[in-house]
Amino acid sequence: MLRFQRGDLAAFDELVRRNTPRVHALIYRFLGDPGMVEDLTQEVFLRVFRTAERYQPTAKFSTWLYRIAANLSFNVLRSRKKGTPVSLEHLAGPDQEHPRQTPDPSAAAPGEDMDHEELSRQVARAIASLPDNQRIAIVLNKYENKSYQEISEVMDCSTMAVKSLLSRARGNLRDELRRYLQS
Amino acid sequence: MTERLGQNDRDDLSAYLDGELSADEAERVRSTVEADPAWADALRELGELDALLDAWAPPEAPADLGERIIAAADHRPRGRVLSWPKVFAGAMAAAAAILLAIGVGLRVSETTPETEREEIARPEPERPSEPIDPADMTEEQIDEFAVENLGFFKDYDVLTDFETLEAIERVERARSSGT
Repeated sequence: MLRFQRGDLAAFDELVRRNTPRVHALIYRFLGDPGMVEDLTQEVFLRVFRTAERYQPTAKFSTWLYRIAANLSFNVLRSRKKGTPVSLEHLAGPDQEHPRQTPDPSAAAPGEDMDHEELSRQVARAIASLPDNQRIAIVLNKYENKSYQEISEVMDCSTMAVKSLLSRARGNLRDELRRYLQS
Repeated sequence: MTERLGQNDRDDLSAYLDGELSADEAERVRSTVEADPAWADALRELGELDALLDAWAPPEAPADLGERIIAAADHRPRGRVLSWPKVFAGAMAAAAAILLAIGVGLRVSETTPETEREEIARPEPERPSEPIDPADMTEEQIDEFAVENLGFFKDYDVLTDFETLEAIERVERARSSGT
């Protein structure tokens, strides 16, 4: 990043190639919308490109990158709430257009050999049902292995708030996924 | 049984699972888990949930996405949108205006008796020499101008622009090599 900040444009290309899969996965998990994911991934890097001079070497580059991704995702999530409903069809599968409905009692019971894709969809749906800030916190913690300190920097809140967000997110996920838990 | 745990207890268990508690706090949770089946159940449940969440794998990014992003960036202005001739012309105009003001002030001061100065409402306007048309200048001349007027560019926060930085580096390199 520092090379790019000094004007080395090849460094930007390298930075994009290295981080695109990571940012793509992160935004996918934030939004759960494949169409928007590519657009937003591109926008993250274009913002890096345009605002490189604001990057402070004191901040970890990945934290800065994640913060841009989180802010852009927050904007999309907010605008969806105001107007267009969240598109989760791809997560719910062809037979379930209303992902937040009560789970189908005829579906696989706990302990049964469950199709991995189906389980993946249920987890995706449960995470999509979380409040935005809980979702972003759990994605950063669980899937990006970010510390509470790093999450607090990305989300611009205290580490205590992160602790509470994650605990509440886990409580909500436990309720949503209870039938898939053994205990 | 885990329902009797309060929110603070759950916050601590969740942070314990993440390894985010201080040594003292972690020790307290560890001993409580050993002593209290409700805490042990809650911790086990959190561990199961954590394993369940691993089931969600996002699709891979399209192989060409990175190259598409690079191509999109190549078509955008880098840093602040700047037109060198416009910056140059603006700087020249500002400098000419300042010189004119100083020149007129000095002439009035030198040639006019103290009592008459106030009567001179409109001194004879003197047109400054026309700024050189930036279009007629070579890139090297414009770069030289940028280096000589760093203060101006700093004031206008133009130094964050990559083209400016590159221009300054070019001039400095040329100077250090004695060309």
